[in-house]
Amino acid sequence: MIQRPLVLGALAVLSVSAPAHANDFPTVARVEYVVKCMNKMGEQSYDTLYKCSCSLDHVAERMSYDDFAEASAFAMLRGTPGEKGGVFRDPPQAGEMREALDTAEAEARSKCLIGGS
Amino acid sequence: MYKPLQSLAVLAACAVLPGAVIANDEVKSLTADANNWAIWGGDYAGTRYSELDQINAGNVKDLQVAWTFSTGVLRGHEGGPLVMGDTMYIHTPFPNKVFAINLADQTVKWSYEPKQNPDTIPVMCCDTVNRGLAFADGKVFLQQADTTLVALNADTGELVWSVKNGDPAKGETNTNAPVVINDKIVTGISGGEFGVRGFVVAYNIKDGSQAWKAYSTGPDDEMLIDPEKTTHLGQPVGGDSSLKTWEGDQWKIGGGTTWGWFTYDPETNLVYYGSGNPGTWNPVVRPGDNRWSMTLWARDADTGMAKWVYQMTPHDEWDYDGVNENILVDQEINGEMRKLLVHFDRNGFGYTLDRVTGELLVAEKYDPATNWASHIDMETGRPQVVAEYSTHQNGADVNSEGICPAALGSKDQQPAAYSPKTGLFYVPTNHVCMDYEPFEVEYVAGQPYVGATLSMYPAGKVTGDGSSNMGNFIAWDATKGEIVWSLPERFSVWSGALATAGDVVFYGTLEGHLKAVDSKTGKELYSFKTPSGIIGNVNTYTHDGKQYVAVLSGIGGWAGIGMAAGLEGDTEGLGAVGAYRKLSDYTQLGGVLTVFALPDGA
Repeated sequence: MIQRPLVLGALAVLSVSAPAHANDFPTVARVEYVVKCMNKMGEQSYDTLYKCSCSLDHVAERMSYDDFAEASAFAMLRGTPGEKGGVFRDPPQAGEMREALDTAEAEARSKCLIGGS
Repeated sequence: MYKPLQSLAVLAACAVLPGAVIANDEVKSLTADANNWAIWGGDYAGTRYSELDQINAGNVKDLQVAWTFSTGVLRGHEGGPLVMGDTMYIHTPFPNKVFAINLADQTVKWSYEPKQNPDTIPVMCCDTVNRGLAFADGKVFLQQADTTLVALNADTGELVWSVKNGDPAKGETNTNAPVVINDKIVTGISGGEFGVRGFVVAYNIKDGSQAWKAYSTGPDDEMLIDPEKTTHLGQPVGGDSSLKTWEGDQWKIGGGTTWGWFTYDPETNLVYYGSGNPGTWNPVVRPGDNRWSMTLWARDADTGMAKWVYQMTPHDEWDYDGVNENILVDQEINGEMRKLLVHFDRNGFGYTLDRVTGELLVAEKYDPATNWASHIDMETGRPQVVAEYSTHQNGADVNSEGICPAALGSKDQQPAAYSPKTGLFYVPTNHVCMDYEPFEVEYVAGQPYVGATLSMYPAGKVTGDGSSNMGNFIAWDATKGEIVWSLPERFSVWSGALATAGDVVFYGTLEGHLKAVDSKTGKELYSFKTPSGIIGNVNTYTHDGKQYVAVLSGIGGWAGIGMAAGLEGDTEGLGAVGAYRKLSDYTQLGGVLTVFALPDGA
């Protein structure tokens, strides 16, 4: 007799429309985001610190940390070669999650005066 | 039936040469000391279980990062480091660097970087990973991507000997971790997507001379199969058991590669491994059972002779490579203690066999979504294929939809763990299905010989249960073939698990989290985000009396591939590149070893 498996934890649901103000990023994730963002902007200065902190605040309001981690993984792993890489390209949520992150970051760029403003 | 086989095994064990015992005993004593992590699976049986219990279910929540080590190499970091005494040995993907780290101060004692022809890269089907090192006889062994097997002086990193195991120009490459058994080192070959004819080979650890070589397909003598003595589910396989199951000379490009893990039982002197998919993914053009692809093998470690075989997926139609690890445990089934071999196949079935005789005891789905076969016939061992999901019956240029699992299997190479305290297996799994369309393809040496296009998506799309998770981390009872608990993960779980006497099980996720869960209930006790996705295997060891947990992160991704392949333009490479400009912005894609410990006094 097959025992009914005990399923623990919430099922991963496609909740790109996470509740606003989720703001549940751990400190490590916040610091990592800001440091990477500053490096991408070319220098570590107060200028980039303020803009990147602003960007993080915006993204963290738009997405839960778990969604952000999932979207970031989809974005990074998209080009994984070979048959296995298909799991990062083919599933419907791959594009949706990447798009949600792209949208949040585009809004953040505008709101935080990043790039050309 | 059992008695003669057991006495044969005893004879085989006694036949070990006196000089041979040294390395074997060394590996056994190194792995018996839980302070070390001396072999990929923690022990020869591949249990990935540690007796260490300083870190336990009560205090694992207090874990902190003790130190990190960046390998400076992009691409996927599979496997995990070895630890012996005061030294840790870390390997990397292509170009296959090795670092010896002094654990006292985390400085590099020596490093090794082979010069390998970058032409090897494009003939590696699935990223240029490497699954790790072996140690014995004062040497560290590395199976390089270009098929060179090297023995390095463990103290200095100097090359002691090297031997070529294959030819990348024919599509032969290597990703596997070799294993030292007795006075030999056993290794395999990759390249099933290039029509490579798989084999396992043993070299003498003293000088790298070849001891034996056994193919997965072809004439009996080249497979080291004895038609009368080698058995399949208790019956002699008979003459030409492979040749009869291929059309013409197809066995010569028959696949059955051997890129997975090797385990070993010193009592029977048998080495266990699985062979991969048959050549070309298009099943229509290769009629027959395609033996012995997709097969579990038990071979005498000294002679290479096959004791038994079991083909799990005759005439593969889905790329369900049979290479996953075979974990050797002793457990009670129907009131009787049995010497078991437990294998979680890509095909979605968890198999429990008698590892001495090859008798099939349990074969059940460890992902309930598995639908390509209804069940395994326990008499014949054959899966009962569901016609709707048969890519052969549907034919070439027909898209078979909703097949579960996808080609990467319900589980790939990432090894499971076993805790003797709970009697449970902890299995990182995929929960992904696919559409599969075979097409005609001509074989050209060194060119991909795949012949199928596929598309993958969460299993929930097929089962209709509304879920979108692509992985589960499960606890499995191999004596009954039952899932005990199951943790949904958003991504497939591609990291190897670790179980400890502290009642904790560790695994990593593709988002990059190292997770610790309660071994009895699955309750999450700890989660920490490492720099990148984890496809490495979690290990544990002690240094100066303190327990550490270590795992490699780093999965590659296109940016890493672009940099490593020397691509400079924004739109070169694998497409979809415009969003990112500077590869150096994404240095977190590089491999990082993260080492965890409890604060003092915790």
